[in-house]
Amino acid sequence: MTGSGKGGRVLRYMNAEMLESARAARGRIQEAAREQVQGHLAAMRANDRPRAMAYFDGMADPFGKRAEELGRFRASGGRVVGTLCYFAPAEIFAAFGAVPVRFCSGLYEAVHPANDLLGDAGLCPLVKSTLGLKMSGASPVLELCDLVVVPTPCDAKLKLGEILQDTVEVHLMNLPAVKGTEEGRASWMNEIKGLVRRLEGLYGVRLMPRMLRKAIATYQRAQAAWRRFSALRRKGGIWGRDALLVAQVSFHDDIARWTENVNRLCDELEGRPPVAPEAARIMLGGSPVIWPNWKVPLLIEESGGIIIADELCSGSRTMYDPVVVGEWTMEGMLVAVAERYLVPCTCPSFSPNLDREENMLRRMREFGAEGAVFHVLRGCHLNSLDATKANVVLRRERLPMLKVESEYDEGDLEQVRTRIEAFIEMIRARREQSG
Amino acid sequence: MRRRGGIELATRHLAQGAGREAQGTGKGPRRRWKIESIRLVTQVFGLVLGNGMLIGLPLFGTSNVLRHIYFPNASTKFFINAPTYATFYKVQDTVYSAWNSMYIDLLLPLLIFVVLTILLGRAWCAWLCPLGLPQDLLTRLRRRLGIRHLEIAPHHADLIHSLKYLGVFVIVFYTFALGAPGFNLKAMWNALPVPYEQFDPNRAMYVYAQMAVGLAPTSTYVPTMSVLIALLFFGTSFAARRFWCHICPQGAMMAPLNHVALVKLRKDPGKCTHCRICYRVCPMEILKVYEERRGREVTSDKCVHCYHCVDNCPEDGCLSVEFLGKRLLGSRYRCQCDEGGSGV
Ligand code: SF4
Ligand code: SF4
Ligand code: SF4
Ligand code: SF4
Ligand code: SF4
Repeated sequence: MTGSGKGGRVLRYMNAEMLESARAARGRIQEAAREQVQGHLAAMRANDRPRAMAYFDGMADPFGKRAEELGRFRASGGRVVGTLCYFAPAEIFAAFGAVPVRFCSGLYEAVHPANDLLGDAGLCPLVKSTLGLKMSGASPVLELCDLVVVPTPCDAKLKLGEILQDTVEVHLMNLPAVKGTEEGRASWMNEIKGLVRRLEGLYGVRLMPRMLRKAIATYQRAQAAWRRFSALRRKGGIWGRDALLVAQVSFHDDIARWTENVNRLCDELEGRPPVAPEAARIMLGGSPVIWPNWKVPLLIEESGGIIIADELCSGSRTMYDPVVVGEWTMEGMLVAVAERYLVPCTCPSFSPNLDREENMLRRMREFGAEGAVFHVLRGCHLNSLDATKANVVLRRERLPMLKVESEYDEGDLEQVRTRIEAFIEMIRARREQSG
Repeated sequence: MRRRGGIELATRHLAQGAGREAQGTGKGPRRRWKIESIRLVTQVFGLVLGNGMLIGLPLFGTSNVLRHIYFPNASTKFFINAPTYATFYKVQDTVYSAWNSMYIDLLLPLLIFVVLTILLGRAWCAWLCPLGLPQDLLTRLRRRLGIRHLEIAPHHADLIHSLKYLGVFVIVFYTFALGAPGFNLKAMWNALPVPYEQFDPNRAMYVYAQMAVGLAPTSTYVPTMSVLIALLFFGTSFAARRFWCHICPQGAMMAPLNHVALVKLRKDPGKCTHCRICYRVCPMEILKVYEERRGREVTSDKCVHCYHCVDNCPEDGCLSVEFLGKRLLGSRYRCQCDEGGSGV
C-alpha cells in the first residue's frame, strides 16, 4: 500500500484512512494521558514524600510544561532526537547539541490506533503505544524530532522501527544479541560510529573530541547524582513510585537541570526517616514500567510493600552505569560510550544473560529486599522467559518472587491486586516466622 | 560538583560496605590522588634514588650491602659503582666470568630475586622499573596528542606474551652455552659478552641522557644493538600501552611468582557488574579481572600491579589490593567529570 503521507513521505504500511482515524483519536489520547498523569500524581501526593519531588511532578506530564519548552527550543533552531530503549547513546546526541527524548510510551489510550494497523493483538503494548502515539500525532515532542533512533533488541522494537519510517526519519541500530564476545562488541562499536556519521550528515557538522567530551561530562554528572540517589533509596526515605518517576523525567528533561534537582532531592533524603519502615521491601524487575503506566508500582505500594530497589531499564538502569573513559581520545571516548550501553546492560534481549541474574541478586542483597516482583508486559516473551529463569535462581537463594503479567488497560487491575496482596502477605508471614 | 574519592588508602571506609555509606552522604570534597599520579611520583623517585642511576649515587655502589641488591625488574647497571642492575645481567656476568664458583655466586642474586618478587610481585614493574617509566611517559604523550592506542586483541596478546618466554629461554641457554667449558664458545664472548647488556634498551636510553647532562663521560660505550632496540622500544611503546612489558624477559621471570607474591589483586565477584572497564584501562590487556565470576583471586601472571583497574572500577569494594591479607586499596565509585585532567 503506497500513498503520500506527511512531508511527502511514502506510506508503505499505513494507509491514509488509518492515519486519518488515528489523528481523530489525538484529542482523546491527550485527554486520557492527562487524566492518567494527574490521577497518579494525586495518589502519590496523598502520602508523605520529599518536597523536592515537586519539580519532578511538574515535569511528569509528557504533553505538559516540558513539551512546551522543547517546542520553543525547537522553534529557535534547537535539535531534538527521539530514541527508544536504553541503548540509544544520549552522550552522542548531546555532543551534537541535540536533546534526546526517549519515546517508550506508557499511555494506555495510544495502544488502539496501532492495534488496528499491526493486526497482532498479542504484541507488547509498550511498542503499540509508541506507534499509536506517532500515528495519532498526539505527542507534540515526537512531532518535532529530526530523527528517531531505534535499537533492535526484540521483535517488537525491530518491527516498530520499520513501520515508523512511514511517518518519521528513522535510524535503526543493530543491537547484537550476544554481547559477551569481541565480535559482538565490535559490531556495536560500528553501530555507534554509524550513528555518528548519520548525525554528522543530518546536522552538517563534524563531531569533534571536545564536543563529545563535554557531553560525556554532563552525563557523568547525571550518573553520579543517580548513584547518590540510588544509595540513599536504601534507607527507604522515598517511595519506589516516586523514585521511578525521577528516573523517567530524565527521558525528556534537560539533563543538567535534572541532575541539579536529583542532587537537591538527595540533600533532602539524607536526613529523612523511612516513609514506611514496616512495609515489605520489594525489588521490582522485568519489563519496563513506563510512566504513566503506574499500575504495578502503585499496587505494590498500596498493598503494604515498598519498592526499595528495581532493575528496570526504565528505572535504576537508566542512569546507573557510568561512562568511564580510559583515554580521552575520540576513539577512546566512543569505545567508552559504546561499552557503557552494551556490556553491563542486563536487558533480556541478550544471551547468555548471567549478568541479569547476578544483578538481581546483588540488588536484592544490597537493598535488603525480601522479595521480587517480576513485571511482564503481555507479549514480552524475552522478559517472560527471563522471569522463569529468575524464579529458579532466586528460589535457590530462598528469595520469593512473583511474576505479574499485565496489559495496558485497567481490565486486569483487580486480578493483579489480589496476587500482589497475597504475595506481600506471604512475605510478612515469613518475616514473622523468622522472628 | 561533588568530588568523591575513588581510592582511599588503607582503612576502615573500605571495610564492609562502609564505603558505600560514605558515598551516599557526600560530605564535601575528599582529597584524592589518582593511582596513576602516585605511581608516577614513585617511579621517578625510584629511578633517582632506588636505581640510583640518573643522577648517580655512586655512594651506594661502594656499600657492601647495597651493591648486592639486584632488582627483579629490568634495571641496569649504568655506572660502574651503581648498586642495582637486573638479575639477568648479574646471572650472565657471573656465569661467564666465574663458571667454577658460579653456584655460589648465582645463589645470592637468584635468592634475592625470588625474595623480592615474592614480597612485591610484579609491583616492581609498574612502580619501580626504569623501563616502565619511559613507557608510561610515552603513553601520556600519545594521549596528549589525541592518538588512540593500538589495541591488542586478547588472543594476540597471548601470542605476544609467549615471546617473552622465548626470550628467557634464549638468554638462559646462551648464557650457559657461553659459560660452560664443554661448549667451547669462549670466542663468542668477544662478539657478544653479557648479551643481556647488549640488548638492553636501558643503556641507550639512559646513558645518552647521562652523557648529555655530563653525568657520564662522552666516551661511554653504548652497544649498537641497544640503540636499535631502544628505537624499537620507543616506537612500539608509543603505539601500544606498555608494549615492552608484553615481551620483556625480565618480566617473564617474575610472572610465575606473581601468583604466590604477598601482594594480591582481589575481586569480590558479588559486586561486579561486568562493565568491562577494568579491561579497557588495563595496559596489559588482562581479561581475567573482568571475566571472573566466582573466585576472589584475580592476579594474573601478566599483571604489573599498576592498579588502573582498581582505580577505575565503578563498584565500591569490588576490586582491592591486599598485602598479606591486609587491604591496602579498594575500588570506589567517583565521577570522572570531577577530574578535569586527561583521564587515565
Ligand atoms: S528491556 Fe531492553 S528491549 Fe525492553 S525496553 Fe528495556 S532496554 Fe529496551
Ligand atoms: S517490553 Fe519486551 S517486547 Fe516490549 S519492547 Fe521491551 S523487550 Fe520488547
Ligand atoms: S615487564 Fe616491563 S616493567 Fe617489568 S621488568 Fe620488564 S620492562 Fe620493566
Ligand atoms: S571494572 Fe569492576 S565492576 Fe566493572 S567488570 Fe571490572 S571488576 Fe567488574
Ligand atoms: S590487572 Fe589491573 S593491576 Fe594488573 S596490569 Fe591490569 S590494570 Fe594493572
